[in-house]
Amino acid sequence: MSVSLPALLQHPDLPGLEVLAGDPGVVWSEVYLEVREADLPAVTPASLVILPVVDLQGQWQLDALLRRLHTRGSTGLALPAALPVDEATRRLAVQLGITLLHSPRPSVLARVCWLLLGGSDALTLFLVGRISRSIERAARDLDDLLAHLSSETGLGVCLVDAGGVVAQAGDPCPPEALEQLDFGAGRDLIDVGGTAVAAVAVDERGRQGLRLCLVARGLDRDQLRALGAAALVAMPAVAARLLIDRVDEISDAARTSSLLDEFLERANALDGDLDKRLAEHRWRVEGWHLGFRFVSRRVEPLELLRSLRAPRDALPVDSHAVVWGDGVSGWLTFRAAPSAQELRTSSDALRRLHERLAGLYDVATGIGTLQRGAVGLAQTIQESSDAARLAQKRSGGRRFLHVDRLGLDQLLLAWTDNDAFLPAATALLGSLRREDQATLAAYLDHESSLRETADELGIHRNTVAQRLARIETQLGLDLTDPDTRLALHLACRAVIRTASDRSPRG
Amino acid sequence: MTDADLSDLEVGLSILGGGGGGDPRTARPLARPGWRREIFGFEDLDPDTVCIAVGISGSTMVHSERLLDPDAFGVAIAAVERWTGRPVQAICNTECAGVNGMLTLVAEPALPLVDADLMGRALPGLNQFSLVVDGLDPVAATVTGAGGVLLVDGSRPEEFERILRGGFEAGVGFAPLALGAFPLAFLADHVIQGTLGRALTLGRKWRAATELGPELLAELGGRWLGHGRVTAIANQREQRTRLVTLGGVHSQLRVVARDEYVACLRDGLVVARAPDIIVMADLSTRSLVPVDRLRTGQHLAVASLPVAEWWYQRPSRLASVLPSHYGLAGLDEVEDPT
Repeated sequence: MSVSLPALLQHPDLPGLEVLAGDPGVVWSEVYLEVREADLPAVTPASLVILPVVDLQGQWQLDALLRRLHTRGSTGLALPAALPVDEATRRLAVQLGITLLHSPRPSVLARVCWLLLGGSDALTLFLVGRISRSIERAARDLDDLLAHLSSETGLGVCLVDAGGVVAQAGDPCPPEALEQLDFGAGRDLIDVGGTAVAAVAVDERGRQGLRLCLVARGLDRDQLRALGAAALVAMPAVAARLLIDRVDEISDAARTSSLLDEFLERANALDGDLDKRLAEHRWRVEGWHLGFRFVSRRVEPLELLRSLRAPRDALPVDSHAVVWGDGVSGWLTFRAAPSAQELRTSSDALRRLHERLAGLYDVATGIGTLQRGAVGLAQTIQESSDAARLAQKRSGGRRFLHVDRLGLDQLLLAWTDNDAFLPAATALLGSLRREDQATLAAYLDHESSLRETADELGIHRNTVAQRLARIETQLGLDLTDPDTRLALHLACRAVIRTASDRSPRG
Repeated sequence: MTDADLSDLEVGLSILGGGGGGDPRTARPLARPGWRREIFGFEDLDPDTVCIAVGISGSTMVHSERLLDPDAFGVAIAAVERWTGRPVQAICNTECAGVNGMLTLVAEPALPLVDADLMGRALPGLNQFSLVVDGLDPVAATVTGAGGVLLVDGSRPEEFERILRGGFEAGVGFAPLALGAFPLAFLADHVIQGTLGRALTLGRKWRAATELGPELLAELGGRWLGHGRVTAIANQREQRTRLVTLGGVHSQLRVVARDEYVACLRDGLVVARAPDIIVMADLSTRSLVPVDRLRTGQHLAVASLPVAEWWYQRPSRLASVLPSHYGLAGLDEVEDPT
């Protein structure tokens, strides 16, 4: 059993412990506390000597004291913090291989040393006591809980998964230790370069390989076991906190989602109540807005929202994001009309965000146009939604769509791709044979030209005419009526595209 | 001894000052050109010759500003003669070091000057006179200024010191002192003999040497303790001590000083201590640096010379001159005599 200086320096009960000279990584196998130097044993190898009272006539007596301790074999001396120690004495300490400390409270230093020397049981009891104290304190969120755990125990506390550090407080977990973590095992005890890490698995639904790590410095093997026990005790509190945070997050997402629904419905006639609720969420309707939407088939919208949080905070403008339907909708708000340059900067930032998420979740992203006021906000959100839907149909590299750069036809198509229109279109054209559907689509595409339709389909003009007659009869519609033609044209596009989406690739 | 010896003698007396005792050169104007004086050993005079020790006591600093009238010793001597009823036939020195070593040379020219003193080096206390240390209760007289005389008889050593200091303070801060008036045969065991001769020899060799170093110290019978630049001088008022730190290349020296240099430690080990004489000198000019001339940045050598054997002959003598006599703990044992 031993006491290391790094472990003492990290200990929460020893603020103000200062290394004046010597090796800051020294390890002692014994610790002596005596009011009178004369009471020390004659031989004290590899020990720390704590002298709570040192009455000096001059620095030379400190030099002589160091000499005597050196003769005894001691390698550490803790002096009362008020005692002046000059440069020459510090140099002598280094020369004699004695680490000199200033200790504001020598009795506490001695108690901590005995605790560490007492072995893993004493240390475990201490840590468990401190962990229970930190759990008693109300925590606002996960970060707050980790901060409490860290400040009470003096340990570094962090939560990691295979992707890296999720949250942390106190001393960070060294990267070398993270690399050594075995995400399969129940408990890991790692020691890299004097820093010990104890990691335990955290039970959390929906998140694989989450680990709680306690980080300490300068612990020996037995003390490391105590750290492992402490991690096991702290783990359920962290798991419970994650669950609470998750429930909070879900209910918050539900609230903001329904608020967005309401707003989109009543943007052109805002009333006092809705205004107030928008203000509570700091949604500002005045000013200029740029809507965006992220959708992914691979990941839940809530997870998507979570991964957007940090990078969105880095954006230079006021931004909001809300779980809405099967994706995340959001918008940037500019107080004054942004310049073309500012607008480009913002949309570039959104594109970078898209590229980042695309790699992880196969995300499709839509961006609306710049719009003003409440109605404009609703509009740009809708535009981004349309654009995202279009983007989702595209292949991998082209899943970022900006409405400003879309053709009208694509917008129109986007509009047809909704839950109300598609069933109607399918019902309308479903009775037709497959070749009649294709004939009708080609005929409308070629401005009712029989010849061009026949050329495209590779059949005779008369065949086309026969088919059209059959379609008219079957549908009971007049193909010369412009409204009928428009509706049929859109229905054809929607149905044919849906069919091609469902057919296997290649 | 002639005026040609004075330069060597001054250096020797400064060495025996061990950092204190005052600057002997301040008394030099008292010896006129062509000055000479015969110095007697004990064997040169009748053992019944009554001899008295003279010297100044008090602040040697003040003495450097205001020179003593050598005739003033006569007043103090006369007072002792009157009290003891013994006519004084010879004089010796109270403290043959520093300024006192020089002053005695010009005192009472009509009386034979015996090469003997009561300290063998400079020491700060009046109760450190050999006659007081050996418990001989010497009668002592000092001049208090404006013709007044203070005479002390049969007092204990502690009072001896306090009462006489009161006399100096009533005067100008220092005063001529005469004490003893014993036959030479009685004095022989209770004084240190030959200190003046030692001072002359030390000074001569010191000045003749080409280099200040271990060889010179060996020749003087002393030890070279090291050298270094003065990195710090810390005053500790409660103990009236001053700690001088010299940063050496391989080791650090600490010198504990009061009126004189009291002890020297090398890397926490005591390498020399009073009553042995510790001197510090400028490494390049070889000039001796007393306690009150120390400055940070000086490059100094530290050396020690053995004090007269007399102090080691009895434990009671040694106890009155060790560092613990001044209340300094942990310095009495020399831990590293190399």
